[in-house]
Amino acid sequence: MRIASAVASRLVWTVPTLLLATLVAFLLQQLIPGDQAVALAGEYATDEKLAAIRADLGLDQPVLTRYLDWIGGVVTGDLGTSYRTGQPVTEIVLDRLPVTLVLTLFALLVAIVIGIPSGVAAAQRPGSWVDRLFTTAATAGIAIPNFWLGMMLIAVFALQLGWLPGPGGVDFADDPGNALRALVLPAIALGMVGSAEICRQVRSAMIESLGSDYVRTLRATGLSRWSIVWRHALKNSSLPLATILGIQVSHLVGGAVVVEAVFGLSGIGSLVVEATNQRDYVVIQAVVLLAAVIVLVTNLVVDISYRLLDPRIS
Amino acid sequence: MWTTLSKPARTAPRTSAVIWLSYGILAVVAVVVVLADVLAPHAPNHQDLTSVLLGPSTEHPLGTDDLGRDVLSRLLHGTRVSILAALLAVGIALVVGFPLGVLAGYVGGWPDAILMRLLDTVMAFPALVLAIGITAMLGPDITTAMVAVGVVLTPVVVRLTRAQTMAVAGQTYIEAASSFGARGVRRMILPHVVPNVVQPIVAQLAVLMGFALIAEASLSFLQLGVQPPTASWGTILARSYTFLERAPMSIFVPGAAIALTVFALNIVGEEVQRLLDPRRR
Amino acid sequence: MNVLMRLDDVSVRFPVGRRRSVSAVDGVSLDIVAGQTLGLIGESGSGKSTLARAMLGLVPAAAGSVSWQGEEVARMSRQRRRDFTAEVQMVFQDPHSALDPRRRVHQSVREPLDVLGRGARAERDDLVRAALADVGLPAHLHDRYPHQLSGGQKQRVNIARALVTRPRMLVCDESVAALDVALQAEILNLLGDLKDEYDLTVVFISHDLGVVGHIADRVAVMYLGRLVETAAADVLLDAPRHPYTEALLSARPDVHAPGAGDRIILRGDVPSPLAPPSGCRFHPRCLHATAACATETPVLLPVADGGTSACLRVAELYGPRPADATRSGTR
Ligand SMILES: Nc1ncnc2c1ncn2[C@@H]1O[C@H](COP(=O)(O)OP(=O)(O)O)[C@@H](O)[C@H]1O
Ligand SMILES: [Mg+2]
Repeated sequence: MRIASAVASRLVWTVPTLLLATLVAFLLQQLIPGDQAVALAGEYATDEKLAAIRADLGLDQPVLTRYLDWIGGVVTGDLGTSYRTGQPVTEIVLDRLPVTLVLTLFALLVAIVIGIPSGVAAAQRPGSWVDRLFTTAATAGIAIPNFWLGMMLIAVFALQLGWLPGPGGVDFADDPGNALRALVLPAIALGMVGSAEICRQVRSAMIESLGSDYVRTLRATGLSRWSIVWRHALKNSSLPLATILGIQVSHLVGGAVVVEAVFGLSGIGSLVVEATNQRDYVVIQAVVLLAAVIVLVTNLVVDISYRLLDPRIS
Repeated sequence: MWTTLSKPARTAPRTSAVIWLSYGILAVVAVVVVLADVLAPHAPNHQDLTSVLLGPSTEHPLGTDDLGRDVLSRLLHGTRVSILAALLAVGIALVVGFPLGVLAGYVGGWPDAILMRLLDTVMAFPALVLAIGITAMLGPDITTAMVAVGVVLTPVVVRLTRAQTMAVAGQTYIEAASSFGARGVRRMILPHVVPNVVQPIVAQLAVLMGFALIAEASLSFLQLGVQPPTASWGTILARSYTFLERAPMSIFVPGAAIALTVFALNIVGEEVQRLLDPRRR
Repeated sequence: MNVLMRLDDVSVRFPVGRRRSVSAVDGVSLDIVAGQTLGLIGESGSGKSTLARAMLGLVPAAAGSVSWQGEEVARMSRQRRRDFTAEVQMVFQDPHSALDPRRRVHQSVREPLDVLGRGARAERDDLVRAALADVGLPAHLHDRYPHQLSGGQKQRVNIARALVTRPRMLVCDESVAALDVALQAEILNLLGDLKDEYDLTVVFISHDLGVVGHIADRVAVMYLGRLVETAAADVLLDAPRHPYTEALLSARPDVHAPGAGDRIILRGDVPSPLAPPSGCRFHPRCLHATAACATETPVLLPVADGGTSACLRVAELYGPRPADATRSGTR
């Protein structure tokens, strides 16, 4: 019962937001200046092709009708057809999605593995030199553009030392081992900013948690410092942690666009850049919408699982 | 890369060296923005194909790029372009977001609920992806790119302003003003609400600027922002990346310029926020 | 007796959550007589501030009406409403937060005149200087910001701002509660002087019977949004005619002379106004409550010495009602 109501209450928020997000993605096309059919087909398209596009998109119909038509397709998994390649957009996007998902997941791991321990360490003695070092490093980490970090990593670890593969992704199907190795540097480049953000947020959550009455009581019971910090205080501040992870996914998916470009990975990030250069608006629209769906769905999952795991929230 | 603004983390006391260094960096950047023409030894787009990819010399303090252009001159001009672009984006976000935030926070009720719903939706899109989407539709160039970044930043400004306005609206001096008949934009919002909301928002401007600078660099790197041959931090990096193998050091300086500037902005932003914190008084 | 403001069965409700509402003030009828000082007391949460807001028209009355010199405030024309605003002013509890931190003292004090659009700028500045002089704020402080002033100085500024429009009625909502005791006396004396000088009618709100008894002519006692007793100040202090007033009186720290043993301690907390007790709202905490008190709602009825009391057992506990117990005298 509790589970059902937790899920329901989150769905009540997520579903309308998802619907609004489809509207935003759809309305993006309204921003295209001039004749949309010409924009979609390219300047050299034949009259028949233009007419076909107009009929296909119902460009003579009112915007609302077109939206309903489009959204009808979207919910059944039909994102339209690329006017550049003639391929179904859903196919194009699904082809590129796994690389981005794996990259984002790796980056999230990097962010967590670096971010949480450093945040916890900094929180032990607020104001100490350890704290200053970590917080200043975190501020620097946030300031470093991920694509620049990526280039530097390539320059050092791929070009100079030759330890890891440089730009140019490897197809998973061909060589899974090397494909994963090729994701190491991009994941570090992408996850570093996240680790800095997580470090800062974990630090302030932990400072609060360590100062709480609950933790002071635990200290009095003579529990070891290690167990207080890692078992109790961190768990006690896990609500901000869940929130942080939700936010990170959004940041990472956004950052993946540039990192993929640097490393020549063919994920949805590089897809949207290619589509922009080719003015393949239907693909751009699909990727933008997909990014929002990924963010909303992961947030929904994080939130629900958090509610299920933590008895305090109801 | 996209800093979270909604919940400023409790900041650590900084050593004053870091803070003064940050003020210094920002001062240098400001001088470069104003005096780029005077400081640059060469024209930023002047090509000299007889001297490509040179190392540092007195003639070219940072060397030349693959088209024989003076790297220092491009960097100085690029700094101006990047900073002005970021200012444009932050300006757009402020002009649109601040009044909306004050309105939502002060009026409340269903207009507030509807606006917040819309902003939640916009914020569900990863910032850079939405910015690319908007830029792509409008046609990529620096103005549309910065309009897009401005759109993405707007919900952040609205939320900050709204929260601050709600705090101010609950203050007794607002009730006192209405007790002698002050109401409306001219007598209540402008004299009492806006001045008390502005200051904490100003403290956040530095952080917003950092966000906009990285966004400019990212979009320009992807060729969706500043268009070559115009120099900006993003376009310089994109160009140097193409000859990374022949001159690996060429990516270092423009990237360090971005990182140092954004770092200084964040430190100064935190410092201003700390100075404004009423608990300190 | 010239009634300046009349509250007739005023109720104020605030929405809480989706469907519920809290009735902060419930059916209060009260006459404010010109030239008098009316004390309004009650524990925190009893609805005093809300009633004060209703007097100024800052919150709408859900039922009942507030009339100013016979005219219902809610039905006033715009012009009349402006006049009313100028004639009834309020001094708030916390002197610090009642002043806009970004405005200088003289700007804050001038603002009511600016809003009302009175006179030329120079005349307004003269009025501001005069008002600040009347409250005893030295001229060199007129250009300061609130955070540069002490608590007492800030409250003087608040009073000056309330007086600058030359109001006829001043509502002081716990205006000295935030100050330390020495300052309290100073500000109270100042208010007393200003009352004469400006020919004011004062509503003085406090949770402290000692303060109210000291300066008020009449006192009204509130409990959970309702009036439970009204009386002349000396009568009320001497011979309270409601168990709640009695309890408030005996809770005063300075009352322990004869019979300190029969000090009545108020049991428990004030119940939530979201779910007020049935019948007499005071019955769960009342020493004299009977079964009837939980079901029957007492109304304010006249008692001896021109007071009123809302207690079912008033005759039993405090002696018989006056013979001519007509409803007309219940205000
Ligand atoms: N704006 C409001 N919204 C909701 N409830 C309110 C509001 N103002 C006052 N109340 C409630 O009304 C009751 C009376 O409050 P108040 O008039 O401030 O009492 P007092 O001034 O006697 O302490 C309290 O329970 C309070 O919580
Ligand atoms: Mg009060």
